Amino acid sequence: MADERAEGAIPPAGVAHDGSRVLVGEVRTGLLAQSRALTEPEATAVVALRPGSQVRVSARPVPHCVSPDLTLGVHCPVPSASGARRDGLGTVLSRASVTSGRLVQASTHVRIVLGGARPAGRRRPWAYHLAHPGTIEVGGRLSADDLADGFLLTETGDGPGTTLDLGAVCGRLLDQVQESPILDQKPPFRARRTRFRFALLPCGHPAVGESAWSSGSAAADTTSGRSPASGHVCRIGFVVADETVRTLRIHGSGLDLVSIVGLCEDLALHDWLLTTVQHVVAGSRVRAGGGGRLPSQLTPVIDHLLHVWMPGARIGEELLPVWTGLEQRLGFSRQWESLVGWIRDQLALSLLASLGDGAR
Amino acid sequence: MILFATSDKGGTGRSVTSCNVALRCALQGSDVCYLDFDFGSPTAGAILHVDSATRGITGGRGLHSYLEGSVAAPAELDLWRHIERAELRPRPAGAGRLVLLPGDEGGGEFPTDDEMTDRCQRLLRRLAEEFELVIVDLSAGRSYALQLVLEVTARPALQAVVTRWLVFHRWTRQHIVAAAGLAYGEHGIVDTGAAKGHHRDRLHDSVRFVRTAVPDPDSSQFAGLLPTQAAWLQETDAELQKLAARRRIGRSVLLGSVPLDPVLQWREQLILDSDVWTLRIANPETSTALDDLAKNVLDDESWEGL
Amino acid sequence: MEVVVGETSATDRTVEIPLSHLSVELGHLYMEELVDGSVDLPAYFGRIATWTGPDQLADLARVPRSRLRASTCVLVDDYAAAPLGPDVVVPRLIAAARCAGLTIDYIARESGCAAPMDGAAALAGPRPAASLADLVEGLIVADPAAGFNGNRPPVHENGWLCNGVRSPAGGARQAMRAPVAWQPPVENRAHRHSIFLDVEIWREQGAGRRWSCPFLATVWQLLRLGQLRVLGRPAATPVGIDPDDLPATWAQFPTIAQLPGHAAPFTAYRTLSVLDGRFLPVEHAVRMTLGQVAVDPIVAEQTLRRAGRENVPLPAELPDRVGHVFLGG
Repeated sequence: MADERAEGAIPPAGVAHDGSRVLVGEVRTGLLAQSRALTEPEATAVVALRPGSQVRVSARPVPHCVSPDLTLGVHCPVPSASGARRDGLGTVLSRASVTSGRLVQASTHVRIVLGGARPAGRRRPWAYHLAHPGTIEVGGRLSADDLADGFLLTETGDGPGTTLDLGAVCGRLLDQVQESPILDQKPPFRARRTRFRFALLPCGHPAVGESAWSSGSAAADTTSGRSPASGHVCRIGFVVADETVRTLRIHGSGLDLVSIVGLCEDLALHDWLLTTVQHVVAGSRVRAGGGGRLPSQLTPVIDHLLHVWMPGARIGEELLPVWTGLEQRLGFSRQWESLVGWIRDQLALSLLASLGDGAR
Repeated sequence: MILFATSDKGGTGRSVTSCNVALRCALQGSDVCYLDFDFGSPTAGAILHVDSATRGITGGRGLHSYLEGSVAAPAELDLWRHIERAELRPRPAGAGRLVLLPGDEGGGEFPTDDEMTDRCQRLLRRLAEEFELVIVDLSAGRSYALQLVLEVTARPALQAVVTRWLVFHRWTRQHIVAAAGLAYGEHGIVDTGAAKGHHRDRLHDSVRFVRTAVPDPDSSQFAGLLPTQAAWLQETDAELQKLAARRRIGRSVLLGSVPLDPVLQWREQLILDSDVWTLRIANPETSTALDDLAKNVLDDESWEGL
Repeated sequence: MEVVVGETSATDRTVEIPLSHLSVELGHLYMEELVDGSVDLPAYFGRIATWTGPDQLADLARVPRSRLRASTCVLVDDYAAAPLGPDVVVPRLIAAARCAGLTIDYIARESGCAAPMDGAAALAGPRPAASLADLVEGLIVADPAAGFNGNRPPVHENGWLCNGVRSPAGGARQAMRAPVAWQPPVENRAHRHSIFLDVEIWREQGAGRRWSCPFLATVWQLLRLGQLRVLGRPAATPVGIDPDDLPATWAQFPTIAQLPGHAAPFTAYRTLSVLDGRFLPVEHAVRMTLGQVAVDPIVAEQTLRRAGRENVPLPAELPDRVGHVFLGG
């Protein structure tokens, strides 16, 4: 066993070796399979996925319960747009959350360390990887962009193939939560799940091997996520890939990884709200105008979703520009307001109509 | 709701009728998905005019691959993008989602194991979460697929989901006897289901029947019959009605009745308004019958306990 | 203006616990050996004493002897059967150790690792762990075989954990297919050749689970390393006992009992177990299992940070914190 310690220095927790680091992850969002909103204790129980571990609960601005992080070991090639097969070994972290007792999310993320000092060859002991949870170390050369493109652009996830499949891990977790015996499996309406994939890359395309985070902030970017370093975002790219898939590419430096995951969960949640309400409104627009009657599909949306819109509520200072930027370009909130306005108009019309009926 | 479409014998028009029901429900605004669980012969793509999946899909992403565990999720084809019928593209206004989960090309029947059962359960529960109507088209007879879904729907995770059964049969003596046997007979749906942990009465109450290729003696089709022929037709029909009632598959559990129509029989494809009114190849009665069936499928009242 | 908002329930509350430099396990005996008296206890402890002198311990703990905080402990094998109660066993152990010049600070019972948790740990919570063993089982993150990319759930052979890829099961699954030819198992971290190890964690027996001895020994190591928490609180804490007033059954005995005296804390940065050589297979299994346990990262970090503050060199990997001395016959 002595050879394992031959590297000598014990890396402090959370600090990996030099090399470019890319955070990749996926968030899946859906409607909880339950007829009414869960109470806080119920929501807590639904995401209590490991015995003895804590569920993080916050009540403001909307009730939000987050499961403990679940760890899964993987040993496979990491994504690559160029088709380079670079094996990675390590663990991915997943967590599930319930928001407002109504919405359910699963998110899986991993920090991929490229061009690590260790040559390919014999594995490190598995315990080494468990001491650095949420990190995959990749042997051999691979650029951060190649990795991020491979993850964001190619049809990865759920498919046949041998590369890292975060989508499958994430989807299974969402299934697991939805199968909880606490849930009555009778959602008030049907809603499609959405997939939100994200990648965080260093600012300004640094060359391979260049450190993406200064060593000072690297010490802070552990999974426990305290002492957020003062970081900044250089560039973001948001793409609506198809009806249910969105991708976000962030270039930044000194950012706290846990906050990034939180930001993406928040974005995914609001994007799901928009997508879902849009679908319902589109369906009822065609049928609207029936004597001022409220289209029946709108009722559950009014009851369950309209109050959940709280953009950027759980996001740290340094990441607020991401929300602001997306707002300016995509007008998330403007679109939401317009949908909500239309629904309120329908509601008002239906009230007027029923008052008229009463007067007659 | 998860709706299992099954039949004891082949050639009942189960798949083509189910596909037509799926289309009609989606056109009425429901979000519908259609799973091709006819593992021995995955041809739902052909019925739905999806050229890329006429005999299942290639690339190892179909239901066979999913159930065998080689992919984490099966391919979902958005039919509004894949149906090769001009009338249905782009997506008609107000239509709900219509999604096909095809089998794999070259896929065959396979025995099931525990992991496969887990995967099937996960998939059906997730689809029931995302779609108002999940139609699962099973192979004919007492198949692995039937066994699998009976096992899966008895599990706690799916017990809370509304699951219903449609047994298709032609309007003949043999078909009536066979359909009743598949539903209520030895090793039938209710028997097997109860053995796997289903609540017997509840399962019994969730089975309905669809009669296919039913000759309607009053229709114009038979206008030219001799009086003796017409009388015989009436008489046979009455006898079949009696037989069906005796076998407990009479009117009280009848969800729909689809007339004999060459377009359904020979083309085995979707019947659209244009087929009836523009091309005038399909009978309006067929279209009406399919509309009624779709309406009944979505109407909780037609599924009330007996 | 900076606005700081905090919600206590949103932040983890993870309690730090006191730590010695070294937890020293003074041998391990099967219950039968205590019953039939086949072991000369004073001589047994005498041999252990020669390996647990202060200089040796300080060296193992990697701290100067003057600073060394070490505690001693014994785990009583009462899980399978317990014909003798604490009132008989405990005084016998204390007396024999004293003959060899050793002081036992803590006595734990193996059944405590499998029994429903007591004290603060029993605190309900949304998903209580039934026992310490259940708690640890939930922390296992299996070492992935090459090619595992997450698209399937991790393979779980019920109740077994291994360090590689098992030999494929024999026999053809489907009719008309040729039987699979035998293939050797492979260790994930093979160094030219494999040393494949497959360990039984539990088996179904009667109404419940029967935990294996190596797995309970893994739980025991994790307790000594202070890495187990339930909702952020220590999963088990020592309870003081009076050696003159001992219960007759182990069920009435604490999971970890502290004997009177000025003992250093039970939990420690590192552990040392001095055992008969016959326990080598068990401890091999313990090391392998420990290497696949992912403890709460907050706890792991607290421990490392504290070791840094105290200037105690400490490996991040749990198996490397566990030391053994195996005695020949």
